[in-house]
Amino acid sequence: MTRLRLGVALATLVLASALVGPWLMPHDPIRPDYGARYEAPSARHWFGTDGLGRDVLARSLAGGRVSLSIALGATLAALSIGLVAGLAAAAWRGLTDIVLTRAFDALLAFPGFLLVLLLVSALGGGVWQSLLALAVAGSPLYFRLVRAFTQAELKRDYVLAGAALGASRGRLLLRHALPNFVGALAVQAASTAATFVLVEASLSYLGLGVALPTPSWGNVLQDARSYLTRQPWAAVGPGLVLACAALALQFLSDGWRDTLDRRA
Amino acid sequence: MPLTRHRFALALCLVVLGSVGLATARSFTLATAAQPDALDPHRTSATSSFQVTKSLYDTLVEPDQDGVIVPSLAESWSFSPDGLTLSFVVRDGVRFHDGSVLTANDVAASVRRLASAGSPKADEFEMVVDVSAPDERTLVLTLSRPAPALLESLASGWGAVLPEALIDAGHDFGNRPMGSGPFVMREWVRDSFVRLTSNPDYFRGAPEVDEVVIRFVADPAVQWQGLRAGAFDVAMDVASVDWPSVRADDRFVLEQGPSGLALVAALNNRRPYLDDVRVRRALNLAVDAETVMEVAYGGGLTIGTFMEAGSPWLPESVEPYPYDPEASRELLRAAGVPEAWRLEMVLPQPYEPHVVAGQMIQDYLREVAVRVDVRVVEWGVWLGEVFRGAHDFDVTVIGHSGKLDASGRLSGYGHPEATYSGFDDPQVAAWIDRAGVIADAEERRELYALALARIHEEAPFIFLGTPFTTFVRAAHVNGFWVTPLLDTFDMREVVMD
Amino acid sequence: MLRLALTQVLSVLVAVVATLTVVFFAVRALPGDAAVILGGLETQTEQVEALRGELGLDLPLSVQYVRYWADLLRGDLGTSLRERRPVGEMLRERLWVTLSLAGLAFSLALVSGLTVGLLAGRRTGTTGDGVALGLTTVGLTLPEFWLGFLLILLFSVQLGWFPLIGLPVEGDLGVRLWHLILPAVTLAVPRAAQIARLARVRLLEEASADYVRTARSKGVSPRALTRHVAANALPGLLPLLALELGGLLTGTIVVEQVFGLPGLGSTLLGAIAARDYPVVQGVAVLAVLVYVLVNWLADVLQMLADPRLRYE
Repeated sequence: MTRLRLGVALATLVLASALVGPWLMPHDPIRPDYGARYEAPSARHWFGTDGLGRDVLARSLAGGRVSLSIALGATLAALSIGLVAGLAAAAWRGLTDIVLTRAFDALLAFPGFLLVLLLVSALGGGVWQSLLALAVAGSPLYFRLVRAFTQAELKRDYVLAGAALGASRGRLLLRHALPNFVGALAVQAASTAATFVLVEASLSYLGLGVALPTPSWGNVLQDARSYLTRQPWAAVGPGLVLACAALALQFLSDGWRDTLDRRA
Repeated sequence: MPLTRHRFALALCLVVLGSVGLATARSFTLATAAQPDALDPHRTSATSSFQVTKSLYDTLVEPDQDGVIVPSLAESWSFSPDGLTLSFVVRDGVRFHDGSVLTANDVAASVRRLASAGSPKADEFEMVVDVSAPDERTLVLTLSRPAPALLESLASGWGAVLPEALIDAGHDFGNRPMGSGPFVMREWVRDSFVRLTSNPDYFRGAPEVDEVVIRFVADPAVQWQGLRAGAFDVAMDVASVDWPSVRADDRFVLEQGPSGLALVAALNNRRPYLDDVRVRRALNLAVDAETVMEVAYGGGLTIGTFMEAGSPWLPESVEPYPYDPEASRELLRAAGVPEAWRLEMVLPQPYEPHVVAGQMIQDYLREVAVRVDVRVVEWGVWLGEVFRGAHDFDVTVIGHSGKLDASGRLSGYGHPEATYSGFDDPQVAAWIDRAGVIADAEERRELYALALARIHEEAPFIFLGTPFTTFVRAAHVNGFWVTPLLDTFDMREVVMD
Repeated sequence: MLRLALTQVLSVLVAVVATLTVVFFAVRALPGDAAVILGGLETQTEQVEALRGELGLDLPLSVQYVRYWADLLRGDLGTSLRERRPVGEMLRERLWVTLSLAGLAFSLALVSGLTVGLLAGRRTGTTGDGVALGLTTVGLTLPEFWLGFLLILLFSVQLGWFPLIGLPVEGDLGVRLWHLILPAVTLAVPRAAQIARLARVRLLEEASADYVRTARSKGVSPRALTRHVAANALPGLLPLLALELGGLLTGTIVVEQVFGLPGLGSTLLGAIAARDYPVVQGVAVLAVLVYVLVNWLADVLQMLADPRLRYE
């Protein structure tokens, strides 16, 4: 329970800072200020400034908006792809099932990060490209989950009874089967979002994800790498924010799971 | 070999311990970020490759420290009065690293290889119709037209002479270089280092140092730390933020000289509004090139045309554009540029200074109400879609490397399809074309001066500047220098006290 | 049984062929090619074309594809377009870096993860368990490359105990280990957290099994009971551990970059950037092999751990 509360509190904080933060900041995250290059943290610049004199805190907050949008958007997309395909495979069985299962298995046959890496390289970096690559790489997990859950539900008595009473398969699936495992999917989704936050940052760090000047957590940190030894603070601040976001999502996922377990 | 690797490992450890390097006084270690792709001088066009091959191979002629062409493997050379024959007298008694004697036949085979398909520089030798070696010490090139830049081309990194026997045998020079240069290849571990030892039979006498290690260190901060720890004797890429601490430390010397680079924000002259000279001039006036050079490139000299600062080809009349946003806005208004005008700036990702410069230019243009959308792309994408291919960009930032002769930089400019900028000016094209095929030095100088002055006026680029070649050397190291314009490393005269 | 095994082998083969095919076409779909990159700024278009011909890039894709498989089936990974030497040779040079890094990281993760997991699982509900649980969550969500930065800052820059970056190509084992410690710790932290969490959950599941309740009601000492529970719970972890090992090998890509290690990850990134198709394909072959191997290992371990599956 504490973890759920902690997760909710942290997640709210991170989301709020990413959404509202940039408006509250007195500094522009993109415009250079040549008089203030490489400044140490101060009351004016909490996280210091970068090589173009830009406020690192402002860039971290603005970067959060981009990074979080990608991570959450990709999670939602992966979940949707998996959900639709998984329901279809379980409901129609036969050839649909075989084809879909083989296709998603082939995706799974490739080590996750490598898949994202190749996809992003092929698509060319950027916000939408990163989102798409993550969604594709994340979808097989949801396909498997949804397919397994649905198959299990379809074997249960209430569904068999419903079918005997003439309820349509679509109605049974959406109205009765789905609600029974939507909680479990949400738990998984929060955890996926946490992973995606980290993966997106890694991509941008490798220079394959979101490109400058659009700030993202990954590329702000990549920038900091080049002067790590001279001004470590430029890496510490944004990294903390990034870690907090991933932590918040993971706490949410864990807390949610506890709650579900307790109910069950 | 294992022993030395061991020593290398130890040296690296000492970087960290902050103790004195283990390297003996006769071993010279240089740290640089860029590494060669292949060490076959006829199959590469990368400066990073020539930086290493410079020590392994020799050329017929070479530039001295002032950029003047002087003899090397050739004792002397002469053009026939009609400019259609170039003859060299090849030095006697030069030996390749395998002990074989270098003759005019080896030079001839090398020139043929350099001029044939598969050589990136083949086009610079297209006027060579015959290569012959009437005797062991004479090389004769027969030309279809005067070739005023041929000597300069032969003095560049790709002009290296390789043994004929190995050329015929299809030897893998890229991985196992074999020349007559001051140093002999010992070991090359990709992403790590190249180790060379001095060539006792070098025709100018063996170099002072016994061994040269070129370490590939991508991180400038590590280069500086390594210098301080004594693991490196020279570091090529210490970041400008660290220069104050270099200057404050009397164990080190910060060496700065102009490089051969011309940095530009290239404009795609084919695009609407960018095809209007007023707009291109306005963009030049809008950017404070001096600040861009300072912040993005760690300082340098601004330029007003498409030639590096300090070049002998520069006409005196050309000055850099001043920073004048007011005049810029005026010109843009006069040209009828709409408010919604947006420019797409494409930047090459691996070149961090260009990406920084691009962001600065984006901000300067914002001051004159020109919106710029920045797209940072991989180097392969940049080369394939901006520099070649569809030329899919409005603005980009890039550096054009130095050439010994003006034709190397300028040939093709003015012909709209010949260059990525799409600069279209028949007059400039005619001047440059003519200067490329005549022998008269004075007339060529005048033609290039005319062309460069006009390029300033027409402003196909936003001219930025020429950065400094900056390196840091330990105070006890002398005699290391960077070849002018070619930016290669010359380690023949390195002395360590 | 045999039929099942055959179908499985077949589906693995299909997946491998599909993956390598996708990689083959995906790398060629990237804009720009090796000839353009080798040509750089200083080469005329005709010479770039000539280079393209020399590298075999002007051949129809179908021809290239057939040749690729013909070579691959003979065990030939091709020749690097950039370095012009056999891909197999390049990969052999780099493989040991990645393998030793992954091996070291995995050992660290295993030991620390199991220790924390078992300790926490034994005392569920206590403050110690709560703290352990919180810590593992933090460990799981720490961005790897950032953790790497922090370790470099503290141990290399501030304290000077470890090298800043890089790795000697050869040298005695001690020196190499010393260079690998920080990267290995960086890689190990999230994996250790994951292993600890899994171990704890397995332990809890096992502790609620019927035989444990029976044993407890019969007065078996908690100490002895814990031993039994752990002995029964741990084999169930093995397949998951095998999968962790697989994930770890791709995790090295980022960490190699942070610490400047010349391993397979940096080779892959460099090859993607240079459009060095044969090298990307070579790394993909290795990656797929490892992945298949690890999954197979996981299945075998699963069967060994759960005798019921053996007869299914």
